[in-house]
Amino acid sequence: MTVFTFALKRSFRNLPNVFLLCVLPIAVIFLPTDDWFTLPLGFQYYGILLLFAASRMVHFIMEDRINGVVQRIGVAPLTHLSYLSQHLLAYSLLLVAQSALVVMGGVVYGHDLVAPLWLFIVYAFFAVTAIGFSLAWCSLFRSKEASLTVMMCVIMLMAMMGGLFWPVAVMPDFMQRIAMLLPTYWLVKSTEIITTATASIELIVPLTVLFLFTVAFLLVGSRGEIA
Amino acid sequence: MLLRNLRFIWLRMCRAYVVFILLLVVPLCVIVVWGVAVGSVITADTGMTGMDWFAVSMVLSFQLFGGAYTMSYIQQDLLSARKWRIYSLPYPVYKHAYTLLIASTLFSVLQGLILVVFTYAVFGVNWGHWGWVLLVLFSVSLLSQLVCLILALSVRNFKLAERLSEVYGVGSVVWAGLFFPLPDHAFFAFMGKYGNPVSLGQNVIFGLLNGCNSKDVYISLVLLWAASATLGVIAVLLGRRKLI
Repeated sequence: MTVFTFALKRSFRNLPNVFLLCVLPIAVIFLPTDDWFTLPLGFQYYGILLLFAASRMVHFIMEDRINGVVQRIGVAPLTHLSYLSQHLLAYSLLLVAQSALVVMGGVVYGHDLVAPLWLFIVYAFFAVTAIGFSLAWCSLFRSKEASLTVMMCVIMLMAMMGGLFWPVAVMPDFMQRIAMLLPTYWLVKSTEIITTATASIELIVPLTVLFLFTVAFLLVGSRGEIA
Repeated sequence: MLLRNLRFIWLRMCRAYVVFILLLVVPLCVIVVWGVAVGSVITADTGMTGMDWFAVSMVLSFQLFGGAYTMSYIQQDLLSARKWRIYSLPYPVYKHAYTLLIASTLFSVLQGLILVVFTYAVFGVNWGHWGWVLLVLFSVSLLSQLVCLILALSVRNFKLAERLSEVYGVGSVVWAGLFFPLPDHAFFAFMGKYGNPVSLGQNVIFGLLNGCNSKDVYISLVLLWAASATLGVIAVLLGRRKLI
């Protein structure tokens, strides 16, 4: 688990990452509520934070690819699968722990989160999906700077169209259909079910879709690394 | 010489595709998605349509990040190894620094103007008098360029200076209340109205559109120019110490 430990340490080595992983999650807890959403604004926006944090961390893997570290690892007694899985595991662990911290913080602060445990499970699923998405995204680019810049734009658009800034119901029909192709839509759908429905069995559909998104993204993203 | 140098700096800027995407394509996409998705649904408290409010706010917000041009070119030309080549030219360094500042400000204004024309033509956004819009874009752009210039000249670690410029941009947008409503307190109310460049620009454009509260319009413009003048003096002092 050397790579795993190193990936964990590396995630905290620069200031923006520390800010994204430790400071902003605390800040979202204190955001006020809004009439449009059943959850407090911070918990609504937390999905965006997860996407940004995942993208920052997964870009380390891209950095390794650009700097030739992956090639060096190719001659070491370590398979690409092991290298990749240990990295992804470390990033997932960080984001899942962060989700737990945010939900616990919300409960302690006094927000009405209806079902905090389910909310944590949804965020944990989405965190892994965000990591998969970032991995798939990075596999499409050769320049870290270009990848991060375009990804920032894509994350904002995904957040807008997925219903993180406003309810999907107010958008035109064709946009509501397009939104269903985005992971953010299923995150919002899950949180809506948690805050409005009584039966948590209804969560199976959005969580399954998020899981399938994760599998698809990981297959696309890991293809280049294993080859 | 200044005009000749301006031309080459603009050519360099046109080739910076990543910054181009960040400052032109991203706001275009965001405005289009917003306009198509909820442009007709959301209405602003100020009495104008939601699309008008959002377009003005977005165009002004992205002007804050235009300072990246000044910061990056000052770093490349005058603070890295290339500076020795620039110093060896029969061309004063301060002139090059001023040209970079002017070129970046005008280029950022031009990008803002493209967004203004786009929103006017496609979504019918009411911008009011174009002369005032240009003046506001120029004021906000100049202020942002000066903030970034000061950061480039005063912070030793360039990466840290870049992050601080992002803090300035995102922080101003947050202070303007574009992400979430600020707490109901006199301090936040003041900062939300006069404490950041986005709100100051909004005050001018919205004030002129509504045709009332002209005092707010002039106060906001004076504040923008006063801030730019103060930062200009600081930038000159830092530049004399660091560049000459």
